[in-house]
Amino acid sequence: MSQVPLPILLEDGSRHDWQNAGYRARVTAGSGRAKVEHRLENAPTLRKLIDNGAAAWAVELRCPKTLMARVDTSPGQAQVVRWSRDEVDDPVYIVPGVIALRELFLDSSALTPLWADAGELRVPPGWWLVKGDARRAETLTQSLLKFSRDDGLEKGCMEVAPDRGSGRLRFMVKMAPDLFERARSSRDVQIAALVGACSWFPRVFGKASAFDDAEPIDDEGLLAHELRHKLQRAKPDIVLWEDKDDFDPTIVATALEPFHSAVPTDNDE
Amino acid sequence: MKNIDALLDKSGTGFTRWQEEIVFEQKKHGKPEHRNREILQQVRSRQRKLVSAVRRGRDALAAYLRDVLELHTEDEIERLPFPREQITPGEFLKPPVELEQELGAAWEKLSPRLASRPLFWLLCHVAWIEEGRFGETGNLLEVALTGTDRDHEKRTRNFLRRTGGIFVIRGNVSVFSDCIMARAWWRWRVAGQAAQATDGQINRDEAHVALHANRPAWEELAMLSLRRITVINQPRARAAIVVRMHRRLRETGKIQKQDVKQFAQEFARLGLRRSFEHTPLEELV
Repeated sequence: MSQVPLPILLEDGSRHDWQNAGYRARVTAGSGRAKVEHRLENAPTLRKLIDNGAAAWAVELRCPKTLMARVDTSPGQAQVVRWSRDEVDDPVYIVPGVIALRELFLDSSALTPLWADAGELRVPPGWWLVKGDARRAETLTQSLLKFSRDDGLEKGCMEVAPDRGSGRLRFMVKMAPDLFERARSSRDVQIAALVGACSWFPRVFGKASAFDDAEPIDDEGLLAHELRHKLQRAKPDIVLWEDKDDFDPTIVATALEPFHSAVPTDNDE
Repeated sequence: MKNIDALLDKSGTGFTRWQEEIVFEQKKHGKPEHRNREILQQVRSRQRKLVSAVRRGRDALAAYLRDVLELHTEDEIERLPFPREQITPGEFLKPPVELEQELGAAWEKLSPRLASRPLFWLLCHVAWIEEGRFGETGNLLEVALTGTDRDHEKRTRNFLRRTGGIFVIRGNVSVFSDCIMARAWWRWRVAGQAAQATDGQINRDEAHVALHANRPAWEELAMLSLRRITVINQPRARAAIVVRMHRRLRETGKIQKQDVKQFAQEFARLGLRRSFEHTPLEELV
């Protein structure tokens, strides 16, 4: 089981094996399915491998919580992957790319000068020729909130509290029946719930999120990590949860999901 | 399991609150001798209530658990069928291979989604307690309270671990490692997947024996699969690891945590660049 260095094209552009080539994937996730649109640029050699069936567009699905991982392939650039609700418990992660379906040989002339002396490269079956970034198969907001009807609450009232009963951190939003009726369609109700959830951040993340640039190893760390980066991209000077005095849950919630705009997926940037 | 999702939703907040309030975490609360003595006293009082409920027997324990989970008596818990009338305390604490296989086979249709949730397993325990699977007096669950009479923290944590897991501290690993019944289900499931993916190189019973042989080795596999090296969840990669564990067990009579770590690390390096599903099995085993 040896590992010989071979070229790979990465979506984040951090490898320089292929001349001018680029890869992007657009993922639109729904319930139990995701549509992945792969885009290769300036990569005729890779495109030819796909066209002649030596390689294929691929999507790896991962749900660590249920010990599930699998790779689906497709000859078509627009790939739909499906999973059963019973085999996963969110979050589900998606890693798109291109893999070799059988042993193949790459001519190194299509590669950067780093590979000038490599000659013909043998690529074993299963090799990722192109690999995209991992992403969640749900929006960040979807992953944070769970709505529940509570007949004991007075009309117009809601309560938000952290809930780890599902096996990961999210916020249970209990709503009076009149609000619950509107929860799916009313953005105002959704964002009010999100403000409530954000108000918990200093207490639930606290010092645990001080890792910042370290690799998060668990789901909660990953969530804090993802929130931090999303918020800093949206508002570079935003005050995060470590600063309890100046932390403003309303600013944070509306930076994640502004009022009166379509809810984007994490990959729509 | 039609109504279980509604019950999970209904009892989720109570479950989290109960777990957060019944264990004393130095990381969160500070050292007990310095400050927060009041919090410590409150936690100890809650722990005594749990111990007392266990000692008072089946009905008291079931009522206590329903109360903390905010469930009414009319909330019927749809339980997994228990394949035996009752089990002994020894079997409960350390189920032998045959019992795990029996449990796994009886719960074959359980979904991984439910099996990954500590609260689901706690609900099952409530239902099993109510139907007397752990004895009329509840004495079986007294063994879950392992620890000295005075060490309430340890006893409480052991009870929580064994009946579902301390999710607020241990996270998702609880169901693979701490909850005895959940662990049995997951080991049997992984054994089945491994047997299927090896095209007959090992059968399910052999795979299960390898996974059951040493608890730390199993826990290492689960922990790495869950948190660090998730590529080994690809069926062929995990099957190859189980085949190697089986082989090591056959050749040396034991399987160690370090063996599993070494196997998984080899796959971690390779998995960054290779899909195991498209790699011939003989290259992996």
